[in-house]
Amino acid sequence: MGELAIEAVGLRKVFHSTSRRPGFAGALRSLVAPQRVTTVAVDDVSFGVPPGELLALLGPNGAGKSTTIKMLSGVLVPSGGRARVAGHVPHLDRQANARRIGAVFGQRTQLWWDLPALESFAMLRDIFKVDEAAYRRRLDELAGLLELSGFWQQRPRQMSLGQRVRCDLAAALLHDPPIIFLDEPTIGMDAVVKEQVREFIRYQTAERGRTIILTTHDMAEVSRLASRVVLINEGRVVYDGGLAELQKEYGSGWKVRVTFARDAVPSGLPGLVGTVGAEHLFAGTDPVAQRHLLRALLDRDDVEDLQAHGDDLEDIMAAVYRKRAAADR
Amino acid sequence: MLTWRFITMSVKSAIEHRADFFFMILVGAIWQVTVVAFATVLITRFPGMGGWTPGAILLMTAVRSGGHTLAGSFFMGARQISELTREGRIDAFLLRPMPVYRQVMLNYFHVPMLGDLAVTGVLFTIAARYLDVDWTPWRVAYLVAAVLGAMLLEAAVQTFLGSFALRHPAAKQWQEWTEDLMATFGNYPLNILPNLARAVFVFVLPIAFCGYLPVAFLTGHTTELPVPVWVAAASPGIGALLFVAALGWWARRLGRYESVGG
Amino acid sequence: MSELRQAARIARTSALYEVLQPGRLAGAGAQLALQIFLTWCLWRALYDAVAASSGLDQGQAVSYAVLATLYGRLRGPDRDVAGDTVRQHIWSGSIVYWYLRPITPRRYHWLRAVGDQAYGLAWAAVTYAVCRALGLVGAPASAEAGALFGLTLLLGQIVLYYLLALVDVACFWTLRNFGVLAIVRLASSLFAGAIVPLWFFPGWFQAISSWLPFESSLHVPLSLYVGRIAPADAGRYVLVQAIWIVLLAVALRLAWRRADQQIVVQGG
Repeated sequence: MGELAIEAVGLRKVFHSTSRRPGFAGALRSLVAPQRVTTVAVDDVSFGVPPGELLALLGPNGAGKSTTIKMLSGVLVPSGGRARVAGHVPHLDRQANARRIGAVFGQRTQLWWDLPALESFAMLRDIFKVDEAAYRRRLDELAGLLELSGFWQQRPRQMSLGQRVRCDLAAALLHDPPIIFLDEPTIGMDAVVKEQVREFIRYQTAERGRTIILTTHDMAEVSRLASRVVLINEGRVVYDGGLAELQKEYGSGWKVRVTFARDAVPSGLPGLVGTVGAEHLFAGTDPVAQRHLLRALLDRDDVEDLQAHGDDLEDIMAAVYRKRAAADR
Repeated sequence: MLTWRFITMSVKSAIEHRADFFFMILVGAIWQVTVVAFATVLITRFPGMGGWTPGAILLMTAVRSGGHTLAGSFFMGARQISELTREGRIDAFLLRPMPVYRQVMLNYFHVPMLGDLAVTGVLFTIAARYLDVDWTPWRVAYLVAAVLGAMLLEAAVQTFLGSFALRHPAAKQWQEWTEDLMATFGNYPLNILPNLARAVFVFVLPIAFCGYLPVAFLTGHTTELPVPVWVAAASPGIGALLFVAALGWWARRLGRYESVGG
Repeated sequence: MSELRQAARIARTSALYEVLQPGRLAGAGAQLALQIFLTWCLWRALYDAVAASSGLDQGQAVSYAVLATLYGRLRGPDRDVAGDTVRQHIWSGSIVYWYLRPITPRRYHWLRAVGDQAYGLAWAAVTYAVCRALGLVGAPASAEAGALFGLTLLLGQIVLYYLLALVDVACFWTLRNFGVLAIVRLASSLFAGAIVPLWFFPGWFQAISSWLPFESSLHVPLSLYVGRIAPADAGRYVLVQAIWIVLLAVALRLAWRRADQQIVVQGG
């Protein structure tokens, strides 16, 4: 039983703002008599992440994921509850906290937009006071894993999204933080780069023992990387447990439709449910089994067409809320 | 009308940030005051500048200021092209059934416009009183045309430079610099400058056509003009022509547009 | 040692934007050269009709006006084009990274500003030397005037730092409007004497200006240089500069507190 790397206890965040009335006249009225509005972005979020684990934080837009991440990374001060990262409260000493964490916020880059990426790395080296030898070593490793050397002389404004995010990932790890926050890092990327980034993330947890919290919308990404997920909706945790259990309990399972050549009937492939003409349907509830099946299919050379359907995140979440609503009644 | 809705949307979004809105009004008032102060500077400190009477100088300031206000109100979007490109908003504009140029221009509305125009109106009336000119309908119409021409000319310059901003963010800096230059040098009768400098303002950055040339023609200060009199008379037309040319240039650059960041 | 290295690397960032892109550097040089030429022509021409005006003779006015064109450079290289202004970071949300570094946002901003203004001052010094060599700008009115110019310029740079910083930090909770910022820039240039030397404006305008901090950053040093303000009178202006430095420093401290609160409590 060790210390938790990241701990959220009853986190709560309330925002105060002024609401805008609709219409032109309303806008004018808001000028003189603004309406104050209180939004509860995060109501009561509690979970813990042991060192070396990758936790996936899921939830619809506006559920409070980003706000939770900001509280855990120390940027936001919670309205209630407590956050602890590596044993410290993050917002009490941000400068010290900064050395313990790294972060990539999806759409926003921390690189200097008009400087070559290498210059940005050197800047961060000096800002974090990393010694030269360690910097060289880490940069070489990161460049190898993320294939940066082809474009790290370029400026971010000249890079594609995939290239830029890869540089951001490297930038976040230059000071070797034990804890990483990733807020939708692969959004908008093409499949090949997504896979590279996922492999990189997996490597950081599995081989380097970093603790990672990952927010995402992508179920495939979750199933690839996380063993544990936390579902957040309307500022509250609605599910906290293993991914396989989540899918078994709430998912409708997976389906794979395969068309084989030469009317071959495959034997020894698990999960066969039925056949319609030349099309064979495989289904099941265990995502691991789906992966095995897919791998086996890809090894064969008589597969003409293949369609795989995983569980939709939205469907699973809907199922979770339905069940909770029923339980609450 | 769609355009009207765009304008109201811009005003609304300007109002949404309360402090911003009040500050904008305040700062707009400061600007209006300085325009008047500036005009009096020229007249009181440098009497007889270039052989121009105070009334003529006031008129020139008024025409340029009017043109500048209108340009700033309706065409300031051109100065934001660099930012819009970076944010990917141009991509969104390209997908809408409205000309991209118009959307860019409608993206911003200068709220203190009415105040600015009021001050310009004051300048005009003062100038008219000073000047010994018979204000026939033709002359008044020409004055209006001169203001519109000045507006179109400034819009042309910013549009031309802004077209480069689709691919080169540095264009924005050139836009700001020309804006500064026009503000600094636009209010003087340019015949006081040596030939080389005058040529710059006629052929390179043509602010001469904004205030100096049309007012020179109107008030008869046609000695030492850097161009033939008929060219000075045609200033509004030249402003319009340059604007059309700038639009053509914009269309060309937009055709070669490449979105930012793959 | 690494503390100094950290500071130096942060400070030189904006300079790198220009220095690493020769096109930008050349462009800035060309713009400055053209502007100085046109300014010199204009003010010499205006004085063709009068021998002196508002207490300035031709030599004084031309020197003032030409040196005033350097005001734009004194603010530092263009960070807007580089996507690196505070306003842009707040707009895009990348400001969040400022709070995830082992250096406070305030100190980072200060180091950047020091670097920007040092770079600008270097440009101004080189341009001054060139203008003196070409005879576009006269010598200081006296050795005393020259020394006082140096002092008030330094103090003026500090005032300028606070003014620019306040506008930046105000962006955290307000002042996001593109148009407002443009007008603020124009007004501050105007009241600093960068567009037209302040001496030519009517008395009431100069009175307003004397209550604002902008003239302390440019108008006062230049007036001392050309001799429009006698060295004997300099003490008053230096005192005003010092008062503004204190007031603005307090304002900036409060502003940063509000800004941090905005990000940290309101979420930006």
